[in-house]
Parts: sequence; structure tokens; C-alpha cells
Amino acid sequence: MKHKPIKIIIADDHTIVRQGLRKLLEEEECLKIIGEAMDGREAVKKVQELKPDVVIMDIAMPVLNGIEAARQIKRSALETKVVILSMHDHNRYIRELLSIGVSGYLLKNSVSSDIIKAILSAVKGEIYLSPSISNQVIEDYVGMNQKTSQEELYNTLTNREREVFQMLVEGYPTKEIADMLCLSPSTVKSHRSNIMEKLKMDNISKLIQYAIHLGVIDIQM
Amino acid sequence: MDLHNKSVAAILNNLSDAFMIMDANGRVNYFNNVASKVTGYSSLEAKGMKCRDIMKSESCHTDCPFSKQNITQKTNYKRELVITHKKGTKVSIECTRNILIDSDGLLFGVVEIFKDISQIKNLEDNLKYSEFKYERLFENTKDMIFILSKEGRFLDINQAMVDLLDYRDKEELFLLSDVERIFIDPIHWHVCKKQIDLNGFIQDFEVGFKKKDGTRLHGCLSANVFLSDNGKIIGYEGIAKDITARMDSFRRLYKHHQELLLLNTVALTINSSQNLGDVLASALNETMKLLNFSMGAIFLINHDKAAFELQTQKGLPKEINIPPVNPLFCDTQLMEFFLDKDNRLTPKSIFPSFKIILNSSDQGRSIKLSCFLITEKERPSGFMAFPVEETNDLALEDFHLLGSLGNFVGGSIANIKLIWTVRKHREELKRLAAKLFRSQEIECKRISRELHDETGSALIGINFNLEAVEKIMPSDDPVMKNIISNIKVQVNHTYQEMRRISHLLHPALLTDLGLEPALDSYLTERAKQNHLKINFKMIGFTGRINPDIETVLYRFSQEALSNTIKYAKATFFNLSIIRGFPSIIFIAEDDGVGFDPDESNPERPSLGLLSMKERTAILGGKFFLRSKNGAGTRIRIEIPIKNGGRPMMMEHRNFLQEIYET
Repeated sequence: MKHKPIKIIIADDHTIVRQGLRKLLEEEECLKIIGEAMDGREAVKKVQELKPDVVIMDIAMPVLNGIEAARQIKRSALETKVVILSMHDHNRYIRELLSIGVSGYLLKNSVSSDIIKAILSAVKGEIYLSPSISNQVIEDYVGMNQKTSQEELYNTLTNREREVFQMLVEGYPTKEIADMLCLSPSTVKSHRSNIMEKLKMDNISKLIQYAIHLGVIDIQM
Repeated sequence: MDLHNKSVAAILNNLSDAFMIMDANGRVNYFNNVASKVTGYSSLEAKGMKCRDIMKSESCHTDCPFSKQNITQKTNYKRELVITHKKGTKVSIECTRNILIDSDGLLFGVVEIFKDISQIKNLEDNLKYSEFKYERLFENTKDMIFILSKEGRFLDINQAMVDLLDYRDKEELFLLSDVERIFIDPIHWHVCKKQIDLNGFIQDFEVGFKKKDGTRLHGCLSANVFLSDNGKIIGYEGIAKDITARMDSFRRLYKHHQELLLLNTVALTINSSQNLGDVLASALNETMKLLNFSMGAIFLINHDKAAFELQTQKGLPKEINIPPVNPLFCDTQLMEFFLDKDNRLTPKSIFPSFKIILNSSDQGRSIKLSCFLITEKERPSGFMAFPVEETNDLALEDFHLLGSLGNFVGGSIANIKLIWTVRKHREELKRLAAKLFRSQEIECKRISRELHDETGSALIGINFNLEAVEKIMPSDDPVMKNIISNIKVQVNHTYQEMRRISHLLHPALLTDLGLEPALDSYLTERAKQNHLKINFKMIGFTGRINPDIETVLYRFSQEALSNTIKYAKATFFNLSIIRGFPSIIFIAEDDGVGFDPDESNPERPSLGLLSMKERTAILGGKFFLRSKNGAGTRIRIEIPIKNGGRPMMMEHRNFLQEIYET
């Protein structure tokens, strides 16, 4: 039984890429190129108009980049699957796009068979990654969970708290910090206790050790 | 008779005075022992000799009772004369002569009773001499000496006192009823007297004497009391020195001290501020304080506008101090000379002062000021102006002071201008460098994008087309298949190379996703290539920061890592970027061989470090480098941020501090 061909839109700002890709995919009977887009906004528009099964999209595109375009497409109620075809192999891109909900992430130097595999997987509701990046994704996932939480506690400090923290660990007494920042000593004291609480510290010497560990202060210079 | 004669002779011989009797012919008839002692002749020798042959005195020629011409009416008289001893020495004697006259009025003998008064005479002479000496001391000394009665009247004074106090003579001074009248203020004497009465004396009291014309004479008085035998004060004597000269030199010294203080104050102002206004205001203020001027102003010559501009003033009347304050020169030729840019002055300690007039705008009020030139590099650059009437009685040294102040201030103006020029150039250089860095980044980014997007896409397109050709082509042509396969390999290789170059120029990651992924990707790749363990962490970043700062931090990281790889022979590289507040802290360190930062190494050009320093300076940050031979290298950079990570405005830091730091 002959299946309905898979409807595809190619979104890439480079004509030569679109042409090459079209030639490559048109060789497959089960695939049908129903449209092309030259930037992210056009891609979103064409997807809404033509309702393809799959959109193959580059990240670096003018007007609206591929990440934003993918986000908009996935946010709409459409069933269209997004397969990213990019030159970028950094896991940040991959992580970001996977979290948006794309169905495939391919590097541009992939062979045609990978591209076709990705399209077919996408239609089936599966996710396909270029073999060279799947390792990276796994490493990233493992590494993410290992990241020490101690250092991340610093993120919770506000600017003012970071400022007070810096001066505290540099050894300024409360009164001087208050004078320098034009605050009342009681405000500085309350900042100080907030800092201690947020960083889970109970005394100033631990705070200083932590500051040295972070590199906020330099004991040798 | 014989007994009688003998007893008379014994009496005469035992008299303490010399005694001789001459007969009517003037020959010695009797000569006692004392007479022998005085004259040197024994009685035997003397008997029969003529008196004048024994005495050999000058008066024998004029006053001889045996000479007819010299007959006097006096028969008994005393006189002093000098005789000549037998040995030839002169002997002073006091001699009483008795001329013996008989009832007929005829001379029948002379009795001379005399004694040696040489010793007394000597004493008298000595006394006279020393009296003379003391008199001379008293009169000729340069110090004034006075002796007072208990009530304060002059009993004696010396000539020095008359001279020093400018009186005509001693009598005029004696007429003063009380010693207090020679003091500029009677209290001076009262204080002294009290002390003398209390202690018996005073020593080196500084007092002010009043000359006859009322002017002051600085004196240094020592005095003591005269006491009577029963211990009562009967008078005072005093001696005083004229210390006017000493006081004058002391005053001069004080003045010099004040001048130095003034110059020092101005110099201090120059050191602490490069603000011309501050320096001039301080110079004016100090000068006015020192010389007691009620008002003053400093004008500078603006050669470009051919005008004099009021820079600072103090105490000018309100109606005159309304800008523009235009000084009118009393000497217009001088004015033109000053305004002429090309005029040179030979350096002198004093340029003669000149006069200007300042008018109020409605001409209702005008003041005349004496001006003292400020010179800068042999050119007139301005002048200080003070009220004419107050400069009229300036001493010569004050003129000198104003002259040297003019030179000094001129030098300072030149220095400040120089500092400002240097500073302006530095700022310009900084701006240019910032612009250069920025346009470099933009260019890199553009080329990188171009490579990545255009060239990259073209290569991808070619690749896809090749794959399409492969599919269409019959598979039984191995030669063709081989060629296409080779082309695909080449295209892929070119693609990878292009990506590498593009990434080095400017990673798209940095723009698209930010610093952390960009650095992460870069460091991972470099670590693989160079077998280096790299530790990288970014702490405290919760979102993107200013893209310019991201780029700078990315470049710092590249630069630091490249240095480590090229020179350090390190096994470990640590990079930490902490989003603190108010600064972002960048730390890059390795465990490599290190180097001596003070030594410039031709094999290791520090252009990279220099550019890091320069970029840090542009952002108003701080750069620290610590390295030692064999002990690794550590770079720490602090970049100030305001909310959102925008760089803070460059602050105007103390210029000298900047110079010291570089």
C-alpha cells in the first residue's frame, strides 16, 4: 500500500542549501517538498498556511532565527514536527532546542541517509540526533546533574548582597560598609544575615573561605 | 753743744723724711740717712756738694734759692719734683723748702725736707690710667650705659646712649625727668624695674626704646641695683644693646620662611590638583595673606583671543567683578607687547611692576591696581594685581617675592598645561584604542558570519548536490563514484577548516547563546588539542550580560589560554569568571614555568598582556598580574559593572596616580 508522501518545508536563508536539499529529498518517493522559506518568520507563516508534516530548519537565519521560529511553531497547536539542520554542534543549542520540543537535530555535514532517517523518525514521533552529537548530549545531561550546588548558591544573591558580601569578605566592618554604600548599619546587618542564610554559612570565616574558593577575593595579591 | 748737736743729728737721722741743710753758699751741710737712701749719696759724699749736683732736677734751673734771679718772697713752700738718683734713675719726691733768713733779710741757709713719692706717684698714675680706661670704655662703647637714682633720674649716661637714641647731647637726656621716657611704652621699664627690685638684676630683657623722634629702637637690657651699706636700694645701673639689626635679620628670616611657606602651599596645591583655577586661587590667597592685601586678582593672557582673562579674584568690589572684567593698561604699549604671541622676555627675577585700571560697567567706580608679571617659558602669561596704595610701601624683598612667585606660578601654569595635554592625549588614545578594539570585533564578527553563513552554506549546498548526483547516477561507474567521493571529502575538509577559522574570528555561539557556552566550547577544543587539563567555571551569572563585556571576557580568556599554551609548559589551566558586584572578576591561572613580569623578554612579546591591560583600562577596570619564574602565572581582572552588566563610565582618576601605575 502506497503511503501518502510526507509533506516537507525547507527553511534556510541560503538558496544553494535549499536547492541541494530539495534535489536530495526529491529523490525519495515518500517525501514531498511543498514549500521553502528564506527566514524564520517566513517559515512560521508557511507552516501555518501549508501545514506540513515536517519543517527542516536552519538556526542562523535573518529576521527571526531558527530557535525562535521553532519555539513559535511548537507553541502553536500544529502537528508539524521540526527538524533542525544546523552548523552548530554545541550542546547549548541542542539542549535549548530539545527543550523547545524539536524532533531532530542534524549537523549540516550529515549524509542524506541521516536526514531521511530523521524525517521518518519525526513523523513517527521519535527524536533523531546526528550520531556525532548524541554522545555530547548524554555527557551534557550527566554533567548537568553533577554540577556542584555550593557555587550555584551565589546566584541567589542580589546585586546589593553581592556588594555587601564582597566588602564583608574583604574585611570591612559594618559601620564602614554602611558609610561607603550610604546605608544604615542595621540595613547592612540585615543584608549580612540574608547572605549567611542564602549561602548556608554560620560564621564569617567560613564566608571568607567560600569567597576565596569562588575567587571573589584574592588572598595572595 | 756737742751733745746737743749729736742729739739733734740723731733725731734728724731717724726722721722718716729725708732731710738736708745747705749753707749760705748752697753747699750741703747736713744730709740724713733717709736723704742718702732717696738720692743714692752718702752723708759724707753729700757734705760740701752743691744741692743741684745731688738732685739734678729740672727745677734747679728755674727754682734755685741761691740763684739771684730766682729770689722769691716765699720762705717756706712745698712742691713736687723729679730728681735723678745717683744711679741715674728718676725719683719723684715731695719736697718742703725752708729758706733761712737772718734778721737782716739775708739768706743764710736752706732746709729741704723731702720724701720719695715714686710709689705713690706710680699708684696715682695707674689710677688715672685706669680711670681713663674706664671712662673711655664707658664713653666709647657701642652699648648704652646709664646710672639712675632710686627715683629713676639719670645720674650718668654715656655717649653711646645719646647717639643711639638720637639726642643732641647728654644734657638733653639729663633733662628727661624719668628713665621711663626713653621707653616706647613706660610699661617696659616698670616690668624691668619690678624684676630688678625682686631679683637684684635682669639680664637680656628685650625692650623697645624710644628715640628722640619717637621711632623704635629694639634693645636688649641688662640692669642691676645699687645697694647702700645697709642694704637699701639707692639706684640702678643698666646696659643695653641695640638689637635692631638682629631683629631685622630675624624678621627677614621670618619673611623668607613665610615666602617658602607660600611657595610650598602653592606647590602642594599643584601636587594635589591639576586644576589651574585651584592653583591660582591658592597662590592669590596665600600672597594676600602674607602681604596683607585687601583685594587681588590674577589675569591670564589668552594669546588666541588677544585678551586678558580674569582667572581668580578675591575682594574685588562687586560692581567691578562683573564679567567680562577688562583691565585697562596705563601703558598701552606694554599691553600690546604682552598680547603679542611672539614676544620673549629674558628671564629675570623681577619684571618691573605696572599699573592697570578696572572700571565698573557703568564707569561709576574704578580701582587702580599694581601688577606683577607671571612668566611662563620666557613669555608673559599673565599677572597678579593688587591695590596700588597697598603695594606702595612694599619692601624690596616683597617685590622679589612677587617676582619669584610670578616665575613660579608661570612654571606651574606651564606644567598644568602640559599635564592636561598629556592627559587629553591619553584619553584620546584610550578612545582610539577602544574604537579600534570595537571595530576589530565588528570586523571579525562580520567576516566570521560571512564565512560561516555564506561560505559554509555554499559548501553544504555543494555537498547536498553531490549526494543527489550520486543517487541519480548509475552505480556501476566506479571511477565517477570515486571522484565524487573524493570531492565530498575535500568539501567536508574545507567546511571543517572554514568553521574553525570562523570560530576563532568570532564564535557565533558567543552572540547567539552567550559567554559560557562559547568559552566552554572553545576551552574543550583547546584542551583536546593541547593535552591540557582545563578547569572552567562561571559563577553568579543568571542571564546574559552586556555583549561588549562578554566579548572582552572571551578575548581575555583566549589571550590568557594562548599565553599558557605558548609559553608556560603548564599541565593545568584554571579559568573563573565571577559575577560579583560592583565588579565582574576574571581569574586565569596556570601551573606553568611563569616569568618575571618586570623583565621584558624578546622571546615573549607581551603584546597580548598589553592589549588585556588596555582593554581593562578602557572599561575602567583593574588588572593584576602575578608571576614568578617557576611558580606559574595568575591574572586577575576586575571589571566594574552597573545593573545589567553595562560598563561604568570611566571615572576621572588622579592623573599622577595613573602615571605611577603605568
